[in-house]
Amino acid sequence: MIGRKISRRAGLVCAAVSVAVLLAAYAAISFVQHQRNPNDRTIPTWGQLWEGMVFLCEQPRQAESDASDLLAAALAGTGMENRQQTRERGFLEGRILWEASKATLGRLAGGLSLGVIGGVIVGVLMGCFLKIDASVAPAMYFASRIIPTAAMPIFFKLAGIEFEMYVAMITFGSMPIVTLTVSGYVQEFPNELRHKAYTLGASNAEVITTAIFPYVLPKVIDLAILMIGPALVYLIAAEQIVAGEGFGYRIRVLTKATRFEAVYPLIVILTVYAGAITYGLKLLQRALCPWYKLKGR
Amino acid sequence: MSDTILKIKDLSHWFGSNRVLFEVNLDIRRGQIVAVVGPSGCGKSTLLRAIVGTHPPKQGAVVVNADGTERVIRAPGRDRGIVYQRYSLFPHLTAQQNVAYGLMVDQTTPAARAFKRSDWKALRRKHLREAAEMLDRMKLGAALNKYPPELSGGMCQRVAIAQALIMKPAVLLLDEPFGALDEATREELQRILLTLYSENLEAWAHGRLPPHTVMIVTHEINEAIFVSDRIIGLSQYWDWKAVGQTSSPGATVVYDKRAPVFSPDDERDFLSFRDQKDEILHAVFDPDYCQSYKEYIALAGRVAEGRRD
Repeated sequence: MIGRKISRRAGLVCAAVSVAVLLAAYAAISFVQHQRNPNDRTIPTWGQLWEGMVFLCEQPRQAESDASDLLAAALAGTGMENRQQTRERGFLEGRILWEASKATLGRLAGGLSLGVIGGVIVGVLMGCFLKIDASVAPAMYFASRIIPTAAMPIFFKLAGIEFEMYVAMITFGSMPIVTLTVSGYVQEFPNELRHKAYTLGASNAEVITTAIFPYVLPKVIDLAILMIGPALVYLIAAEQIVAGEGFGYRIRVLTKATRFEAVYPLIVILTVYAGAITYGLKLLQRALCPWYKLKGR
Repeated sequence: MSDTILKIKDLSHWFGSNRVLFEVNLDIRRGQIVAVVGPSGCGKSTLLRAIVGTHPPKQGAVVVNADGTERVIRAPGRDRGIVYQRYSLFPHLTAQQNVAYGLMVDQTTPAARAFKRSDWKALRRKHLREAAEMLDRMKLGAALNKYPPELSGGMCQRVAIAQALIMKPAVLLLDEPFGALDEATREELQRILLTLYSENLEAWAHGRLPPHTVMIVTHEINEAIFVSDRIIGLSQYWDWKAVGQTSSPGATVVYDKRAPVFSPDDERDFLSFRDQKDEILHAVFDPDYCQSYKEYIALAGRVAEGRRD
């Protein structure tokens, strides 16, 4: 029957099977590829992937060198000196994965926070006051149709290629969509609830802050989760072009050196980060809006 | 202080070419429980919205006299409480927080809540205690911390009534309160309304001002007669040609009489007022019967006394 519920256990089994099928398919393709070419690194074996992972975690970064030099240095056994340097600079500092994570997640957090918070403020005002909606909505519609990756050269020109540029690009890419969506959520706020708040003595500011905002908050968190994907697309694309650090930069230089055993783990780790942020926001939603997922009687 | 708490003067309303209400005149006295009945599309809800203030009338006025000062209604305000058919509780607040919401926004400001934290905390505790007491009166003491989706329709309706009553509004407005409820819950709600009326009677008996003035908009005639002390019939079926109109100018008051008063413990016997029900069906709901403008308006010109001895 359509929509029939399944047990938690059955759900876990289905999920485990799907992951196992995926991993088995990858192993089979990698095996076939290595039968044809034992030196292949485009579809690495599990062993090669492990080496790549170790490289990302252990090899200290040499700021001015590119990835092929880093790999060469690692393979030539210069790791001891680098490890010494690492100890002097702190345990994590200098490691490729740490530095890339710091750069990418910092830019993502800055841009997404600004885009969502700015979008919520403007969206709530648009949803509450139709004069603001009439004035701002056309510009927001236009801005929401601009593809940030296509407009990248303009961002480079206007905001440089430092942290601010990434934040500006993610903000520009996410804010119009967040604004328009939040405005729609606010306009869906039931009239009867709004009228009731006034009959209970609420002022305009109180209707917004104590009735409308809490009502749309869980949907805003869902929206922020949805915006992680597009924000990462803008960010990684920009990093691949101009960055000197970050996941996009690392993927580009490692791809150039055909070291896919390190590229694959980077992609998986980036996915895990996105999943962890999603999970964190879901936990936040559960903590701030315990009423949201309650089932009606 | 004047006994008339709500005055509707020559109220007319229309939407484009659709004439809805025509020169509605009503005086509601303090302590009355008034039921407004009428056929579908007669403008009952439009009248209610005009009183709430969300749809001010195109002509005429609604005047509230809560504290001895007459005030023309142009927007929703603190002196009129409203309970909608679909309860309209804030979903992000528990039953107790929903009831305390009005106290919070009425007695404090956002600045005071933000910057005078200790004062606000003490006041908040007081508000929550009062809300719990009010919910206890509504027999919802066990549901204080439940969110609206966790409550049944009847429980939500009682929370909504508690939410409005705790603010002690000059007039409590109920929009089709029985519509979405099952039979047992409807009866429970009717008993609550009769309890409010008995509190009015007690206040009168002790020389105090009655605490509750209620206006119920409904299409359920039996329930309307059972819970109210005055029935107002609003209908588009009336002899408008007699007042010089060439096409229907909208609904107006065609029935205004007292209803029998029951106590909360009385047996609910709808047959006991069958004659009045038949009269209302004939005068208000029958499209073939175009009565004279004031044929059934027993209270016209001498405002209903409201008080029952």
